[in-house]
Amino acid sequence: MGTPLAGYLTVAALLFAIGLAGALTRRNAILVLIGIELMLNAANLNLIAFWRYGPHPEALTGVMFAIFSIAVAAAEAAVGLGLVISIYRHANTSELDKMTRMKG
Amino acid sequence: MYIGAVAILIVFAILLTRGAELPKEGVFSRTWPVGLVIAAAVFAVLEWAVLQSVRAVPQQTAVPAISVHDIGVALVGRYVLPLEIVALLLTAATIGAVIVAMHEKERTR
Amino acid sequence: MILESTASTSQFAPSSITGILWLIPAVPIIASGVIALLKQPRRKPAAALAIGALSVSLLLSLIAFVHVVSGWAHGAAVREFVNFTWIRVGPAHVDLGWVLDPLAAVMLVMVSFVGLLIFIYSVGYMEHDENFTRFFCFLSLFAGAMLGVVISNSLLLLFMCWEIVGLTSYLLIGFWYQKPSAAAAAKKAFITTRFGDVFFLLGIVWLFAETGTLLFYNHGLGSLEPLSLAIVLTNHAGLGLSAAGAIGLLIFAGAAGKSGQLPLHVWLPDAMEGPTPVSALIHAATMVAAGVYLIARVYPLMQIGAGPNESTTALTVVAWVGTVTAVFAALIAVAQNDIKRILAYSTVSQLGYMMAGLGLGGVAVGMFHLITHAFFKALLFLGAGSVIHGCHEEQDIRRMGGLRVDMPLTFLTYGIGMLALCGFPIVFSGFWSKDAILEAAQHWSVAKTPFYLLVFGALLTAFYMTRQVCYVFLGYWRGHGEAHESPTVMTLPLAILAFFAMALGLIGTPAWPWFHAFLENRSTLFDIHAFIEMRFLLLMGASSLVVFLGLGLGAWLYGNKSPEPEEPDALEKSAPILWAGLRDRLYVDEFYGATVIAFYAWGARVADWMDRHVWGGIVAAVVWLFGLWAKFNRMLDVNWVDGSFDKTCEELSSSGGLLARLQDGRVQSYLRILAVAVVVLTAILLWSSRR
Repeated sequence: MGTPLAGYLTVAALLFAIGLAGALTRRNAILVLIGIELMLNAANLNLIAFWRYGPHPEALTGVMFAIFSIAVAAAEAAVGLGLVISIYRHANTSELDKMTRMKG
Repeated sequence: MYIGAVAILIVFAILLTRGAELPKEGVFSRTWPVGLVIAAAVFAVLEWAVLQSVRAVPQQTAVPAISVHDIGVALVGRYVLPLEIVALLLTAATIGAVIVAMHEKERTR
Repeated sequence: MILESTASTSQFAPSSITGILWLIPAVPIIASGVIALLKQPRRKPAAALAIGALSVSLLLSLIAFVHVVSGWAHGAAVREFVNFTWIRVGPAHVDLGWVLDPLAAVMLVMVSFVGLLIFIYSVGYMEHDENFTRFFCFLSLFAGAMLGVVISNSLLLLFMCWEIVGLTSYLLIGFWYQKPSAAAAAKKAFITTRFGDVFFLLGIVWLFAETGTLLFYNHGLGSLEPLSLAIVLTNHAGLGLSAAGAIGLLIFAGAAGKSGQLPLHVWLPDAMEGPTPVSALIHAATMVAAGVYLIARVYPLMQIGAGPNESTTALTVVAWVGTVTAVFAALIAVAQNDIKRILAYSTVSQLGYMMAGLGLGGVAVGMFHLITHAFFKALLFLGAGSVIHGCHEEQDIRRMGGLRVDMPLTFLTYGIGMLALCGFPIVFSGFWSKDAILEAAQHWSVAKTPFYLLVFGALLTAFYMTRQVCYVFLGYWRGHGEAHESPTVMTLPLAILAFFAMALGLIGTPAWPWFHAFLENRSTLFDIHAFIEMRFLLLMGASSLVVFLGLGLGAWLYGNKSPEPEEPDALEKSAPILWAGLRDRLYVDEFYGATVIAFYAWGARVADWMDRHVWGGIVAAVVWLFGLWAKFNRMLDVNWVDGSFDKTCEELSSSGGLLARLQDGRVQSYLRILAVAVVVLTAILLWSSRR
C-alpha cells in the first residue's frame, strides 16, 4: 500500500522549493551551493518515486538514473566548491552580492 | 558515502573561506522576501502539476522486490559503460577542482 | 549667291574691273585683320601691310577711274554694277552689290590717294607711340570701310560700311584711351552720329517698304531708277511731303550726324583728341565727307518731283542747314586758340558749304568742293600735325610764332593750303569750287539769303585763317624749347597735297568744266572765252574782293605782332562779350548738357531708383518670404523631426539603461528570473491543458 505517488511528489516538490529558497536568499556562496544540492536530491526523490510506481520496476532504470545523478551531483559539488574557494581568494569575500564583475 | 563526502567537502570549504564569521549584514540577502516568494511560487506550480495529473497515475502497486545485490549486478553488468564514464567524470571533476583551487593559491603567493 | 554683272547703258561688255571692284575695300580690311594678329613691337610689318594694302586699292581705283573716263570720253555713260542676293526668306530677298560710275570713281581715287599719303605721314608722326601697330590696324579697317561706302550699290551695304566707319572713328578718336577727355570725346562722337543714324535707318526701312528694294541700280528695278522713284513720289507721307521727301529728309538726318551739320556738329571739335593723322583722314577728308557722298548718291531720290528750276522740300532743307552751319561754325572758329580746333570748326563750316552746294546746285557742285576740300584740308591738318610735332606737342597758337623761319617747308605748304581754303583767286582750287557754290546760290529759285550768308562765311573763313597763320608762323617764337622741322616722311605728303590743292582747280573752271561734265555725263570743250562772260566775271570779282577783305582785316589786326599768351586777343579787346560767346562755342554743348543729357541723367536716376527700391524691394520681399519659410521649416525640423528622433533615441538608450540594469552580475538575481520564467511557462502550460 504505502503512500500514494502524489505524496512522494509533493514532498519532492517541497524539498525542491526549500532548496530554491535557500539558493535565492542566502548571502554566502557555499550556502547557495548547499541549496542546489538539496534541489538535486529532490529531483532524485522524484525519480525513485516514479520508478516505484512506474511500469517496469524490475528493469532498475530509475535506480540507475538516481545513482548516476548522485555521482554527477558529487562531481558538481566538488567543482563548485573549488570555484568558490578560488573566487574567495580573488575577492577576499564569499558573499554573492559583492561578486558583480560580470555586471553588464 | 556520498553524503559524508559532500558534508566533509562543505566543511572544508567553509573553513577555508572563513564562513564561520558572521557577515555584518546578516546571513540573508537584502531582498530575501522576493526569493522566498519565488520559491513559494515554484512550489505552488509544481503542486498544481502534481494535483492536476493525479488521475493519470496508478495509485496502488506492489513494492518491487529489489535487493542491493541486484543493483550491484546491474551496475557491473548492463550498466558497466555508464559506470566507467561516471568514474572518469568524477576523476576529472576532482582533478579539476583541485587545479582550480590550487592555481589561485599559487598566484596569490 | 546669284551674281549679275551688267553694264546698263554702256556699249562696252561688262568689264573685268567691275568684277573685282570688291577687292578695293576688301584688301585693306583683310590687312587690318592680319595686323590685328601681329604683336605690338612689330611695327615695320604693320605699316608695310597697311600701306601696301591701300596702294593696291589705289591702283585698282585708278584702273577703274581710267575705265570710266575712257567710257565717258567715248560718249557712253558708264554705270556698271554687280548685285547678289544676301538673304532669301521665301519670296522676299535682300540684295547687296557694288557699282562703278563717275561719282564712285572720283571718290575712290580721292579716298585711296589721300588715305595713302596720310598713312605714309603717320609712319613718321606715330613713331614714338607705343601702340603703333594698333593704330595702323584701325586705320586700315577705316580705309576699307570707307571704300566700301563709296562703291556700295545697296543702301543696306552702305549703311553697314557706314557703321563700321563710325566704329573706327570711335576707336581712333579714343586711341589714347587713358586720357579721360579722349575717351569722352570718342563716346560723344559715336553717340551723336548714332542719333543721326536712327533716322537714317528709319529712312532705309521706309524706302524698302515703299519700293521693295534697297539696291540703287538694278536694270530699272533699283530704288534710284524711274520706276521706284515714281512710287515714292506719289505716296504721301503727311505734312505735305511725299514719301520721297520724307525719306530724303530721314537720310539727310543720318548724313547730318556724320558730316557735322548744325545740331549734330558737337562731336567734331572734340574729336580732335585723336592723333593728328586721324583728324586729317577721318575728320577732314573722308569720313565726314561720307555724309555729303551719301546725299550725292541718293540725289535722284531727293530731287524727284522738282522741275528744272525748282527745288524739292528735301533739297531746300539741305541747302538751308548747310548754309547756317557754314556761317555758325565760321563764327566760332574766329575765337578759338587751339590750332586743331580752328581747323575742326573750319571743317564743319566747309561741310556746310558742301551740303549747301548739293542743295543749291546739285551733285557736281557739292562733290567738286568735297574733292578740293579733301586735299587742302588734309594738307592743313597734316601741316598742323607737323607744327605740333615740331613744337613738342604744343597745340595752343598763342604759344607758337615765328615758325616760318624754323619750319619753312611746313610754312610753305600750310600757306598754300590756307589760301586754297580761303579761296584765293585763280591758282588755288578752293576758289573755283567755292565759286561754283556761290554761283548756284546766286541763281537759287527759292531765296537769295543763302547767297549773302555764304559770302559772309567766305569773309570769316579768310579772316580766321589769316589770324591762325599770323599767330603760328609770323611774329616771334613764344613757346618753350626749340622748334624744328619735321622729317621727310612727313613733309613729302605735305608737298604732294599742296600740289593737288593748287592743280585740282583746273578741272572745274568755267572755261573747262570737266568735273561737272564728267559727273553729269555731258561732253565739254575747253573754251577760254567763258571767262569773259559777264556773269562769271562779276562773281569772280566779288568773291575775290571778299577774300582780300578778310585777308586784309586779319593781317591788320594780327599781322606780325605776337601777343603774349596771357594778353587778350586784339578782337577781344574791342568786343569782349561777343568774343566770349564765340570762344565758348556759342554754348551749344552747354545747351545739350542742360537739356538732352540732363534728361538722360534724370532718366538714369529714375531707373536706378526703380531698380533699387521697386525691383529691389520686390526681390527683398521675396527673400524675406523665403526666409520665413526657411525659419518655419527649421522650426519643424528641430522640434518635430529632430525632437521625435532625439526622443526616440533617448527612450531607447534609457530603456537600454534599464535593461542593462538587469545584468547586475549577481548570480542570484539571474537564478530568480530563471525560476520566475519556469513558473510562468509551466503555469501557462498547465492552464491550457486542464480539463
